Amino acid sequence: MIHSEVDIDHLAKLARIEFDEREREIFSNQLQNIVGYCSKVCEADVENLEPMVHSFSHEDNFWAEDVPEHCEDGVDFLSPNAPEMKEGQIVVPRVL
Amino acid sequence: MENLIFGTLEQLSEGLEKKQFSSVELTKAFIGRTHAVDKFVKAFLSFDEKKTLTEAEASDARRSRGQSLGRLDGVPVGLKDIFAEKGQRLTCGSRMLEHFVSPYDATVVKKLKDAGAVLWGRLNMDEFAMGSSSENSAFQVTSNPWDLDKIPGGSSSGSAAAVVAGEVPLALGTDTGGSVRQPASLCGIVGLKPSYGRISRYGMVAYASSLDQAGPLARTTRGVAALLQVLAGADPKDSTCARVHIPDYLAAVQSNEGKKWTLGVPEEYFGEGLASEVKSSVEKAIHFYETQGYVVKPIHLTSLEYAIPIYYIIATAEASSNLARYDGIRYTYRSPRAKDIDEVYDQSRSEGFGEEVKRRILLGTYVLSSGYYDAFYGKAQKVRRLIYNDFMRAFAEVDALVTPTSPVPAFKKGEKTSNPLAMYLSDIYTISVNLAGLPAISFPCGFTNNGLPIGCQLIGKPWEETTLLSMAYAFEKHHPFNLKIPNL
Amino acid sequence: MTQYEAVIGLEVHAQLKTQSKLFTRVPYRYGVEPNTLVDEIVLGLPGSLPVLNRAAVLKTVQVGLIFGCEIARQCKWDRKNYFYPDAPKNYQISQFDQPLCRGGHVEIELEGPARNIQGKHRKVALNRIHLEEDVGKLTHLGQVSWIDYNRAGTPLIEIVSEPDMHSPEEVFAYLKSLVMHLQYVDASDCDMEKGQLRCDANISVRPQGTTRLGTKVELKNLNSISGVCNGVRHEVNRQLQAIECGKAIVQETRRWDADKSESFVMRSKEDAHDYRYFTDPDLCPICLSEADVQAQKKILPELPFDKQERYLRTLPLPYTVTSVICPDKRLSDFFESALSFYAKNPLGIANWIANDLLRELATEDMHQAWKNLKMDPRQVAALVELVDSNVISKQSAKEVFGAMFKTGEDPQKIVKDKGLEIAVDVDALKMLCGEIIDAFPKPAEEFRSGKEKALNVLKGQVVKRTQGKVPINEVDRLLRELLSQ
Repeated sequence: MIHSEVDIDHLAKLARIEFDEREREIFSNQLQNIVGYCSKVCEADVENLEPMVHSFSHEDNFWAEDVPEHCEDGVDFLSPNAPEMKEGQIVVPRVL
Repeated sequence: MENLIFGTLEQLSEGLEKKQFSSVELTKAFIGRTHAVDKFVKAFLSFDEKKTLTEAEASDARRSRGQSLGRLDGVPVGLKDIFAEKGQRLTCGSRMLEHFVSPYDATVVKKLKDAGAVLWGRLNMDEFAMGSSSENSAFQVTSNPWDLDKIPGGSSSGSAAAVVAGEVPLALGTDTGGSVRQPASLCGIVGLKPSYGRISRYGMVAYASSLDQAGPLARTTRGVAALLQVLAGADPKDSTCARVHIPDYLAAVQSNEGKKWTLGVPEEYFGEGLASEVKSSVEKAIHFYETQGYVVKPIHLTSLEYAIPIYYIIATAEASSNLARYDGIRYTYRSPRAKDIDEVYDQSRSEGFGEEVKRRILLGTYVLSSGYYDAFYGKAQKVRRLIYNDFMRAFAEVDALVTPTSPVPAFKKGEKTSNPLAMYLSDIYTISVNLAGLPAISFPCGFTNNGLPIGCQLIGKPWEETTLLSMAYAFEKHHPFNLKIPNL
Repeated sequence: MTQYEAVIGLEVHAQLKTQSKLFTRVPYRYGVEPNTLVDEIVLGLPGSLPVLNRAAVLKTVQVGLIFGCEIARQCKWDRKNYFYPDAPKNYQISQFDQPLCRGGHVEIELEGPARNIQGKHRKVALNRIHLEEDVGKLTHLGQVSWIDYNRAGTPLIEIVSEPDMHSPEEVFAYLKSLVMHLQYVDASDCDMEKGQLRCDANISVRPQGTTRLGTKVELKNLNSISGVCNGVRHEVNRQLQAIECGKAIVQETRRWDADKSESFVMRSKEDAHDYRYFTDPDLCPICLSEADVQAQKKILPELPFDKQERYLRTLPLPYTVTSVICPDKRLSDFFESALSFYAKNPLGIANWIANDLLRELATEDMHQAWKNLKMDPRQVAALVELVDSNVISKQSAKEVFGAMFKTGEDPQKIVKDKGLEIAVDVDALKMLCGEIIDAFPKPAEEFRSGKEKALNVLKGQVVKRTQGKVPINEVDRLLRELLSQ
């Protein structure tokens, strides 16, 4: 079993999630619990095993020819859903 | 109309073909049923009656010109609210995407449209497909039509509930750790999780990319087969969609009739935590197969104990990255409180995501973070190989494995919400299938004394959906559990 | 006192010149209406998936081959996770531990002691070259920032050198060489103003003669080649001064402000990002066979330094001319094509191209000027041949060239239309030469007594009298003939 202390504040910062003191307490305990359960994987004997990303092997390259396709006529991909826009650009509070 | 809304796909296709009823009449029957019962079932997040009826009219027009597009032309199909449909809302059961309207079609949606299907409604789900009960939906909890106080399973909760309640004859769900099979099992219908790479993921909102797979739900095995036929196949827009042969599923089911297979019974799937009524129902199903001349063999899948931890490491790691794009900047919910750019991120995500999503994002962030990657994510990927190898060893001896789908029948709303780990454990029989990328089917194999459905799961070799469909059909022909209708 | 040396490594991002983006077939062009070159993939809309651009991979392989890198037979894609408003998915698809190209080196030429003398060459070692997607563009306006995602998703190659440079001059030569080579294989236009080339520098100092690396400082926002050199020079001096004052160098990232000629701390080591790299499950690995790599090798052009060496040795051309023609593939292609029509006078052709043609093309938009170019190499070859065979004089040739550039007409036609042929009436010319010898007895005498240069004075007078319409070789021959009688 590995020593795995969950630094909830560090994770929250990385994941860009914030919570109040009560939530912080609950999340912290739950995560500690789940992480403890998950550290069961350490017992597994995985010598000589290749990491598995997908379940089937890709023998051929999956790629497309470099032929430009113009965006579908009239499809506006951004503005119908944008929280704030001006002159075709997304607007956010100033990025430092 | 009763005979329409509870008709099998075969009956509906035939009726349309013979012009016993039109697609508009059929669609109106389902719309009417939805208006009548969805206030109890709460399977639908939204629908667009006008759009749906326009599609039905187009289907009737085609048919009158003699240009029917096939078996699904004119048949209503429900979509889990995770598939992009141009011009329709795509919420994923999340506040984050509450007002998001998709500007493009998912490949499966395009395929359904090309097959003439009438798309009826957007079905409820656990937020971003994370959950097993619909209780993680930001909008509503779907009820199990067999007992409205109980959950329908999840995360494709609305898909399963709507089919069994007669609100739509076919539905599409997604299965990352059991999210098609478990609700199918708890609602008493058939649900298939195809091999990873069988159906394009393009336009299907990602939870865990290496595990996610779309899956059909229907009252009958042949309904599932017909839907799979339309959805399966390579897609130039999805690199992970396999370029492999697509059989004629319905023809295969027919030609396989009477065939005797070898079934493996993994002992680890019948141990502690399995409800006795579920156990005896599944054992009866196994016994049935024996009586049909199947060879039944006990086998071992020792890596089962790792399946849940591995799943939660891999799925949450991928999710933490997949869900990073929901940030309040471009197209999601943006917190009105946010005053600077950091608050746009932090507050939009904190307010826009529900608790379970946040929990999984945090866990996924943890297992990928510096210092923990090797011990958790790196190791999990190797154990994933171990699980795959375990299955392949079993498949050297048997054609399929038979197990319960869920250790318990539908449970009460609220029963497990306070203990996430307990909720995770209820996925024990379905999860390893996704890790290995295998096809699996859940079909009804009985009812509890309280009248709740019980599901049996068959797990197949890669790309061998036909075997599973044929076996499930063999059972279904002799056990018409699927013809039972819940009282609503 | 201990002598210190600077140790510098560069990370250069170059925008690959493909027709469409790295993971979708939306095109990219500079300076287009904001957010018009986007689709669901560029914006990372829910459900969208990437599909790799084959040409981007092959172009990167070509770049790897010209720098002598080892090309990976198999490599994968990783996600680099960080939140920033210009990154649509809040992760960048990149290559973490399996780059497409490893090792290799960039040959550089340092400045020579004079313009006409070739400088020293050396090889700067490379660590790796990998492929990744670009992000969008932020514009800051008062209290808000605007975001344009047109650029997002365009393919970038990141070329990472070893810490193998030791002066701003080497850095300058390295960047010049990189640009030259990338343009040679048409991998990138490398226009820093358009953001097609971006550069970060890792800088440290250490006592001369030691091998351990000092604490490094990463310098960002180096937006022009001169900016890179100034920034590097400033940072090396800053570190040397710190050491002189007995202060330790702190590992940090600094931002170069070219206007203020000053750098500022961006973040310290403690704030270093945790990018949580992991294999992108949406993409398959790239698999390249030996044949795939060989196919790319086959289509590589002769590289500029090899070409220059060949011109210097075999044609031979003087260094100054090669240093103009060789770094520019279009110029050297033009030259070689012209040479194929008329091989007798390489220097004559080279001079027209390196001086006159280049001057005409050197406008604001050279790319466009090349596109609009009306004359072809065959015509330049013909022009040189016309001069060499005394059909026109050198002076007339200038006029012909000007007309050729403007109209794209053949030189023969221009000469005819303008009546520029030298009318060679040998008897009349001989008579004129005789008159000149008589009129200028002093240079005539000097020549007869062995002063070879004196002949030029007489020649000049003949040219003057004929307004240049005279075959100078013939004049030379006739004067010598008359003077030897």
